[in-house]
Amino acid sequence: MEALLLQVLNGLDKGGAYALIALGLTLVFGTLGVVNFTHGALFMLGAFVAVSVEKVLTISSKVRDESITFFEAYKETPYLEIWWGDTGAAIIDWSVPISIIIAIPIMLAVGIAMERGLIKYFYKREHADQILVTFGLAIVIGEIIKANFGANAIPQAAPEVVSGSVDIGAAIGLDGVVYPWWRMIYLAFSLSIIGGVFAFLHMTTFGMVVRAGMHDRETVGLLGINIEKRFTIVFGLAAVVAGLAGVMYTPILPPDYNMGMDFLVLSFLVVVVGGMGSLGGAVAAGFLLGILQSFSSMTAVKEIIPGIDQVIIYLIAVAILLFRPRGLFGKD
Amino acid sequence: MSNDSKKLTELSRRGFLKSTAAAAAVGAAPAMFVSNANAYVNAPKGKSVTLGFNVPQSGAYADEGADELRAYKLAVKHLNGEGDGGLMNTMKPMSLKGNGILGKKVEFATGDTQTKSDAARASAKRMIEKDGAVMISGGSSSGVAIAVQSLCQEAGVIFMAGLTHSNDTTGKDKRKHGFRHFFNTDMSGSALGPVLESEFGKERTAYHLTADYTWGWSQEGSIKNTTEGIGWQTAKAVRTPLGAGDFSQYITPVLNSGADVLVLNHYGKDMVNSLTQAVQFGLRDKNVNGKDFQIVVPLFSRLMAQGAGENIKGIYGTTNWNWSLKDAGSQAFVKSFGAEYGFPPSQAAHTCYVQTLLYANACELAGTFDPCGVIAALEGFKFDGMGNGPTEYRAEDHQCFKDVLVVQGNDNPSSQFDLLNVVQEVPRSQVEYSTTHLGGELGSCNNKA
Repeated sequence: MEALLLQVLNGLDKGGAYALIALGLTLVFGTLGVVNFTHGALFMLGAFVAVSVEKVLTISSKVRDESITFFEAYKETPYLEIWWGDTGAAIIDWSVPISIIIAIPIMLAVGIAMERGLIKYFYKREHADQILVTFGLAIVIGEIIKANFGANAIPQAAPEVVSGSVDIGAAIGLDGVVYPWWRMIYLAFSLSIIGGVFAFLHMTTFGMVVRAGMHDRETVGLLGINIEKRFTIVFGLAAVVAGLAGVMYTPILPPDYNMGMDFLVLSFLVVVVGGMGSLGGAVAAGFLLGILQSFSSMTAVKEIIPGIDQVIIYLIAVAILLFRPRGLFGKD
Repeated sequence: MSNDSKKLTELSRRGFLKSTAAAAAVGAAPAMFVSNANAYVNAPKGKSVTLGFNVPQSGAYADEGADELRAYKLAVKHLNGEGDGGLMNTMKPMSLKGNGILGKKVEFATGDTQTKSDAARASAKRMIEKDGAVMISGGSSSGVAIAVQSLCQEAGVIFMAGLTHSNDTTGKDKRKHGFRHFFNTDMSGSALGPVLESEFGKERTAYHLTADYTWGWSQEGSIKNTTEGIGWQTAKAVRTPLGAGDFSQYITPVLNSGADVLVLNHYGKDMVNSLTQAVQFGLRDKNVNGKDFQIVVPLFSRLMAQGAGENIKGIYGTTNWNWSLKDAGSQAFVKSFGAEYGFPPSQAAHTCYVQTLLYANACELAGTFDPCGVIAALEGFKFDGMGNGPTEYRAEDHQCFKDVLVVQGNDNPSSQFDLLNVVQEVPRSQVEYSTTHLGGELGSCNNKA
């Protein structure tokens, strides 16, 4: 029972990340009709906003280690700690949450610049062209990050107060159901962002116009509404969602330049399984595949079907697409 | 004219005609067929010799590959008599003269392994066939090393392995043309065992998470032998896909497994991620069976340790070499590398630099680049002053035998590079095994062009 509960939590947590990325992908595909392979790179860029903020906050006074003469080695103390003591240390400790605030305008600007500067020229081109150009852009972004930050992962810590684990089992009378605070926060964060995006699309006039545009772009345009401008903003919004997912994921997975690619393929699978263009489908499929992946890696399951944990997502995708070629929530 | 003399004349005439025909045939044949008959692959003809450095320049191990390449460039510089000479000042015995190798200036070609066996073989093949490399060196993965070693055997060039830790490289997959200076998983296990016993006791239960490829299997087998040998139980050994990213689904079962030690048979990015996540799940704060829960990482790398940040502190593992060593060889290398690049070398850089010098020295000893001569010079070669104490290239398996370092993540680093404390330098005698222990056949020398 404990093991099952833990795997459900693992699946929800993993599914949250898949769903967030897939949500942005679906938004872009649904509005602009663009298959955006840069989306994983936006997730990674968000993570590196967190890395950059931490680097800025920890700009340090360097005291040279005189015992080392062959090269320069330093003991570093951040200026924030020197100037403001515990308050400075607390600011550094909270660098990941602080990064969320900073990432919003940065990712919005990146998204809009990307759409205006490159993507818009490919609206009327084949999907294959769109895939090639966005995949190429993802590689360029990755290489720029590698050139500036190196190829190794760069660890980011969650704030001290939430860096440990919570004994969930104690509350429900089970032993050994311990789960990290930050993963619980990530799950809650994912649900909030997903809820926020849905509320934005369903409860605002802007969202209503966007949904109408997704349904019938031409008619909305004929009504005198500048749908293109709104879709540009939607692209920026999708970039913000991906970026925030990346920022929040840094304490779970130390970021490197390739982390976006690791998530991209799975997220596309999530979109296809959920149904291309279906926002609800993307979210549902994200959580579904996350949970299935977690369960398939249980020893009891792997003893029956060895290696199932490595192929389960693809098997499920094949099975669903066989019976529902347009995905779980896709419209015929 | 007698019959006898007539016969002799006829034979001589026939012999003369045969010889002339043979000479004409040889003269008419393309030059490559002539050289095939007389020389070995890529025999240097001009005033220079080319070495091929095959390292990961892209992918997850690109930083480690970049450090390997820095070391190779430094080695080439020193071999050509430039710079401060580095380990050529401390290596004993040494036949190098600082005038290249056998008087030929050392040049090099580079390849990108991408840490993929097929890409690594393709780049090695290109360096052998197009660039004329007489030796290939490098790599940051055992899968890659084994694949390239096999290619070099077939191609008839020497392979001086870079960072490869699986037993198989000099065990079941060893080759006559392959040589490894780096240590292996059995040595890690043998070195770690006594330290684990003295630090954590004899009554422990270990849970293994293992990268699902040749190195992971080798590491798991070696460390299990060691821990079970000191009386520990093994709760479970679970294979994890290479590059899994999120290991939460593999870590949560550890919580209720009854294990009080987690052994992470992971390297690089997998190690950084699994260790970070294991700490987040509170494993290091747990108390199981009345004992503090412990995590062990059998193979440490300083470059990778940076990625794990605070989580590496206090954790035990092994390493082939560390820049903080105080022997003359290590100091000479750190000084030379530090002056050139402004930071200390990694263990990967060290092993690659040493391998290049060892190859060059063997050519000088043999008086030829012919792989058969070089192999004979390397087999059983004993040397010192290269940072690992007295070392021997064992003739039977082409594995270097030397002391092994047991290290621990530094709790209180004095600088950004001071991540590992050397806990113990375990002597060669404690990590050595019999020549037949790991199986495999070297095969024979291949110097046919």
